[in-house]
Amino acid sequence: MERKDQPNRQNIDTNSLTVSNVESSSRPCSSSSNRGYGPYREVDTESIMSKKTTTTADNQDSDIENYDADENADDLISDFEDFEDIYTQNSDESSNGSVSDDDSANAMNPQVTLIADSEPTNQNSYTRLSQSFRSYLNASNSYQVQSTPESNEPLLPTFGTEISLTENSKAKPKFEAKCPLFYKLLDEANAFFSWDESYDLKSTSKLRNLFMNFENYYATLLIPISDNFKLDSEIKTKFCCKRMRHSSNGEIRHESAFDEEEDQDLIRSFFSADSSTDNESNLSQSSMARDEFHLCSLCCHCLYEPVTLICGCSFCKNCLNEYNVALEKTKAELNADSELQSNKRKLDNGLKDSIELYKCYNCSFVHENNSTQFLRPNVLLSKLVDKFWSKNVESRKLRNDLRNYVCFIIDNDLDNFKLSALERLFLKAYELDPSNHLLLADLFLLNYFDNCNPNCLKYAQIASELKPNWPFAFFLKSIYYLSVGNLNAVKENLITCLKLDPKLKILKIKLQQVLFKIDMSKAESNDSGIAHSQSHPNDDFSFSFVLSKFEQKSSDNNQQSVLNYDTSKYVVVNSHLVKPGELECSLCYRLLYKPVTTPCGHSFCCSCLERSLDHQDSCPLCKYSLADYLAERRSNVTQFLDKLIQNFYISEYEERTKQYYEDIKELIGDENEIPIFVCTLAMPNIPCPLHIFEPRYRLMLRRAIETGSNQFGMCMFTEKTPYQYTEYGCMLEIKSSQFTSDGRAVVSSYGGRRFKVLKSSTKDGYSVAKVEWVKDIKLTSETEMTELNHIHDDVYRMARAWFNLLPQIQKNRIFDMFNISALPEPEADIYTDNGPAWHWILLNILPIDSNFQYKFLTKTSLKERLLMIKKILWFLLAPSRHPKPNPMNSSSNSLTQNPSHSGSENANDLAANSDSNSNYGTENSESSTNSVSGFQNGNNNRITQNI
Amino acid sequence: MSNLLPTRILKETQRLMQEPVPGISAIPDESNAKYFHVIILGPSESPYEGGSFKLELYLPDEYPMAPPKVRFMTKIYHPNIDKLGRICLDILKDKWSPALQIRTVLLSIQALLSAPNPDDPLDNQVANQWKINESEAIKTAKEWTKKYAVDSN
Repeated sequence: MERKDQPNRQNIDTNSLTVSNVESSSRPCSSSSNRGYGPYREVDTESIMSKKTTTTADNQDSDIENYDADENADDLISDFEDFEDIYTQNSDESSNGSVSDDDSANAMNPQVTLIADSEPTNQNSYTRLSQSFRSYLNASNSYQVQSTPESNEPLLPTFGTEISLTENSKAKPKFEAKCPLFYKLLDEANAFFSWDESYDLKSTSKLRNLFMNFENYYATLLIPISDNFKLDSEIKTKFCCKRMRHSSNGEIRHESAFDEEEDQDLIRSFFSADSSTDNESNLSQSSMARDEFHLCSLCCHCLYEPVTLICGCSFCKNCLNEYNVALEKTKAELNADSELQSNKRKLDNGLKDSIELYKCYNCSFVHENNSTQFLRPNVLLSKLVDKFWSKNVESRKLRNDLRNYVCFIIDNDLDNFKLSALERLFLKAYELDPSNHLLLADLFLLNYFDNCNPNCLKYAQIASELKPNWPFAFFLKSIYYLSVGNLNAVKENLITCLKLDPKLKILKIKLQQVLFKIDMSKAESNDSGIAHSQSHPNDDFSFSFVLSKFEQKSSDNNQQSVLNYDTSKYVVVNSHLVKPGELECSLCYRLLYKPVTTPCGHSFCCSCLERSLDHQDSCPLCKYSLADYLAERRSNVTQFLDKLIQNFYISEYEERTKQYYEDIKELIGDENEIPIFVCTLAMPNIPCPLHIFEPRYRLMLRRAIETGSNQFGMCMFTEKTPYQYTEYGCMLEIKSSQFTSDGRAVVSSYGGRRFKVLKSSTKDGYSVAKVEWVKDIKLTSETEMTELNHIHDDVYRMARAWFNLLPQIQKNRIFDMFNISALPEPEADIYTDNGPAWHWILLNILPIDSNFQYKFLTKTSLKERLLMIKKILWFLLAPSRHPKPNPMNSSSNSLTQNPSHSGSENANDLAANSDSNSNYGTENSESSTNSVSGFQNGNNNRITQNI
Repeated sequence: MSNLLPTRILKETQRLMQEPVPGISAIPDESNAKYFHVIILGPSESPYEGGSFKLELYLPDEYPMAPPKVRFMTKIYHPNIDKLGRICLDILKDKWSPALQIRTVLLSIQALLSAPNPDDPLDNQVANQWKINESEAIKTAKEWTKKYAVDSN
């Protein structure tokens, strides 16, 4: 069958029917029974086509024509004979098969119309089923061409294309089979499909929902809580009374109920010591991630269409979406639950968090919002997973196809299916990949919705053995036990589930509810005496029954599954499949080092991406806006890539790490080579607030922090030197730095050593300079020192006198600015490299131009500097020459408000003609200073002249 | 990370040499590894067919964060290239991305030769001519190609 279908699928031409038949003869047929469907397939396809052309007569004609045209092959006849064999069998079986040759049947069920026309025999349901399958398979894209259906009949799908198919021509699910295996499987399974008139799928919509949403148990969590777990009002009131009693004792509410249970400690640990279990779980999770980094921690299967979160964890896109949907719903449900709300205070913090915060499932990283649906698949990861774990990915694709297929069938009301037929399909798939525990979960669901067929338990059992660390298997079991009313088994499995995954805070609520129900039933059984003993044998029966079934079934699977589990613990990566070149950062062309992944799914070295973001806030590869990503400023290493490279590209990784440290070493360089920030005048002991927004200085700042030097040189702009900044400068030590959401930085720094530039060069856009350190000349003779001491004391006195004349407001501002409470006392030792701190502070608050201040920086003699200050002070203090303190005060005000600003302002004036770019290292929000600076300059000129 | 740039430039140069783009050659200057002598052959079915155009390409210090500087050395009649050889190409300006490379830049220039865009002109005179009388403009472009881009080699 499938051989014939394939050409049709690939060949989308409406006239490809002939082609398909011709090709079919060249392809081997797997079984004769398969071939038997040949004519029906053809006819069926035609029947579908006929839907387009509404007139029945035309249809028949064209069908017959086509049919005749197809009849050129001999094998068709044999097909036909095969079919008749099968058909007679089937018709014997079902005498009441629906005969579809009347008009109403035609209208209702177009798929079968033409079969009736071409085969004037009774239709039975069996063929009808295979018809629908076949028509589904064979649907060529002629349906795609047909944009609007002329009737309300469901459209049939096309493969490889999005199709609109309907329940009531409203819903538009997508069906797209990605896995070639799917077709094969479907055809194989076709052979086994059978029609059962009596079958009625009651809960199709429910099953459908489940298959759409069911990837992990978070989605399933929603179902039982509303249906089965809802406590009835009677129990509720009792429950409340009981709890009130407990809470008055200050104890955990279920404690008394399980005094005799050995699980009590365990249960208590779930409910009380929340933080400790959290830590444990972190450990266990991370260790799992180390061993099996290629697994999605939500489904415990190989990552499929992986997305990477900002925390560095990767999940299957589907898993994550469904997890988030489930999370939202659960949150809504819990918020709506009045009982929970009223007891919110009693909830442990962990539960509260899980209701209120968006935590990463894997690492508890708190995300700002739940916007993960905008994440795009991680490009590199998808590629790697495809190469390294191609079998797993294939199996996953197959499973997705199967699930979508089930949805599709249900959507199209093709529910004349026995679930066992679908089960068969999944079983076939499971045979192909016995390590895919997700298929087992699907099988469980199929059976569970088949009126709680106890078979489902065996699938959950196999799954739990296959993946003993997969909590979902145990959750499935608990669902089943819940439906059969075995509360103790529910409890056990929920506990196992919680043991494996203590983060499932929401499950705890359910566990509480179950525990309480058990509590209640016990209380009742104590009253009646018999109820308890009655329920037990029942449970035992169901369990042993299932167990025997399971043993029977799993005997052949067992060995395999054990083997699978063992190997899965160790990630096996054939590193020859992917060359290290493919793990290259597209920015630096080297092996990814500390790789990070953007929301658009592209991976770069952390430092490379940061650098690129300095320049533009979009992805370098796809231009996707990374403004939000940048604003979060919390990007973390993509675990998957990091682990892959570290564990399987060892030599390359070592070399890359070496390179990294060499880079760092070079950046630190020799002590006399420093990065230069060209902006303003910095002086020793003076704080210097900076606002850094130029890309190159952002890079410089990051590097200063990264290398741990935490400092850089500060020079003013000038045209007098070839390298366009002043010869002398001052080191600034970074005290703290804060990054804004758009990547700028506000830095508070502090003046340190002075330096003289010997040689300047550039590095990645900013300047670096070889410097020599400027230190005050050491005085040797006693007389010189006493003289200097005299001058020092003298100047300090004058400074104090001048300072005291300042109005209090100004003083306060100065104190705030320098974070001092008075003009600093003179140090005991004034013979340091920079001289006493107070004279730098004084210089900074004196109303003098920064170009003049700069001169002080260059002097290596403290005596000289002090004498210069003395002259200024003398000028300022002489009342005859400068009676009014007001203008002076206002200018000092401007200086004290922000020393860096006055510097940059002057530099700006100078630079206005030539290069404005280099001067915008800082900016200041206080624009009022502009008006003052004019006066300040004038004043300064006078002072300078006087000196 | 001053190693970062040389590694990238080194690898780019290497790859350009190993797998050259058809119709484009880029050879680094012997004395300056950041300066490339480029020759782009006029694309077929364009007015520049048959010509070989010399360009200079310089990688600034901030490369790859800043785009390379490219200029036509051979005179060319093209609405997006001016008399000085400067090129109006978005990826050489605001649309630059550090994930682009020398190869992609040169390919884009080659494509620009195939598809002149008079709606976003650099040389208004040429662009106007291109809009008003395209056949005439193409004729001129062909003449220029013959005159400057064929003989000079």
